[in-house]
Amino acid sequence: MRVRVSPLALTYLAGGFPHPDLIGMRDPEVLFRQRRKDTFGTTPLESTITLLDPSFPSMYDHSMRRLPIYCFVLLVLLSLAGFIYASSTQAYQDYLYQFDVYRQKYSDFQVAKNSYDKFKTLESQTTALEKTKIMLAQRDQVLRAYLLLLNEELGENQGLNPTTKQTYQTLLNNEVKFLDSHSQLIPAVGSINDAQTVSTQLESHYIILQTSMRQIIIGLSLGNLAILSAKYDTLLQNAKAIILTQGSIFPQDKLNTINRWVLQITDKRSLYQQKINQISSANTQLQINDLQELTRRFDSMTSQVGEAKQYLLEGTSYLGELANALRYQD
Amino acid sequence: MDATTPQPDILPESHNPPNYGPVFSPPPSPPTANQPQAESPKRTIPPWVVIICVIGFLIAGSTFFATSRRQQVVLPPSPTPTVTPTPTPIHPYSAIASQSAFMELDTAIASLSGAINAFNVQNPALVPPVLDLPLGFSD
Repeated sequence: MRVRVSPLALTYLAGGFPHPDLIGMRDPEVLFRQRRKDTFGTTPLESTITLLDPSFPSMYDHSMRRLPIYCFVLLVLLSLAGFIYASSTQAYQDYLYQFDVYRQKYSDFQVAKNSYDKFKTLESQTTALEKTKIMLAQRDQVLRAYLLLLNEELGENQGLNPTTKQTYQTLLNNEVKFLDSHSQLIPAVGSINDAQTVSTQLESHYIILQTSMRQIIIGLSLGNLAILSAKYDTLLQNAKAIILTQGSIFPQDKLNTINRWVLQITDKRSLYQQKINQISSANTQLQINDLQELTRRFDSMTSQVGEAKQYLLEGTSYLGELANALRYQD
Repeated sequence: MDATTPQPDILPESHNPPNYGPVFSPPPSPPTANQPQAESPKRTIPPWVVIICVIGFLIAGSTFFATSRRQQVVLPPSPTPTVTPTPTPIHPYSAIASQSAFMELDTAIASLSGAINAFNVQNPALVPPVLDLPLGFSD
């Protein structure tokens, strides 16, 4: 079970020192210290801070007494935040581990298979069958780990709209179900022929699995770009608002230039959106029966994602120039 | 002696005159042009010494010429750069520049630019696994 705490809440809880006046009456020890300080004076540092903030002495005493509690709470929250942050990282580590194990099992399988192909003895056949079953199970495990990694990435991606995210998660769930049912067939394998039959089931489904994976990868890239483009839109709106309200302070020719630049920045955003639409359309229609063709299409879409990023980058650079123009009077 | 009778140039040993004591010969006459010069003991210089000397002379000469040439090349005095202050164009700040909204916008633009640059088109962590599927058992 995982608990999600927003970073804002985390910061507030970690840094929110209560003011003594908000807490209520001060305890006798605080009052005693206060009287003592009134009599003997304060330290230079405290005097300086007191000048800046008259409520410092009481707040300082109160905070110092509760410092261990705050530290403890902070540590607990930070550990929780680390746990939450590490969900996709943990999934990635798990995937890497499973892949390493798969490589080892596949190597063992190849040795056993070559031995069986060479000698055709009962012993080599038994060993080959055993190693094949282990390898098949681990193969499913690797694919499952990768799908879980994608699922974690989907969960953390804030740029995807809920409908698209739900679609991708359904795709993932279907694939995980397939792998689960496929894994259940492996223990029942009793011969090399059975193993080949079970392996063929995955082979025939592999292109669909790879298509789903690549669709989700492209979807994640689009989600990340959507976050950036939303920030871009906000900044453009803010710049427009400044120009609209205070643009009259500039000479008319400069104001004309500024307005022209705003149009160019908006054009870049339009070009970006066109590219995103192209990628989304191609990603939705990604249904291919050839792995090489799938890879080619995937590379093409990745390249288009790069172009969309470039449009956004150029638009942001224009925004920087616009801000620089607004900074100076002439 | 008869003129017709040939006389041998060298007398036989038996006809040598008998030794009658010390003979005082006249001092040798100075050599004439036609007379072959007598072989005198002279010191010859070995050829390798000559070759070494020639090579030494050549090296010394070339070094001398090179040195003299180098000394003859007089570099023109390098021009000393004179620092002339470039007048910095003075751009007066606008009234917008000091406003918090503008400063936030400026910071956010820089931040967004950094975020876009950091965006990785191909996330290396999400490269799908490539597996060898056919088992490849021979029948």
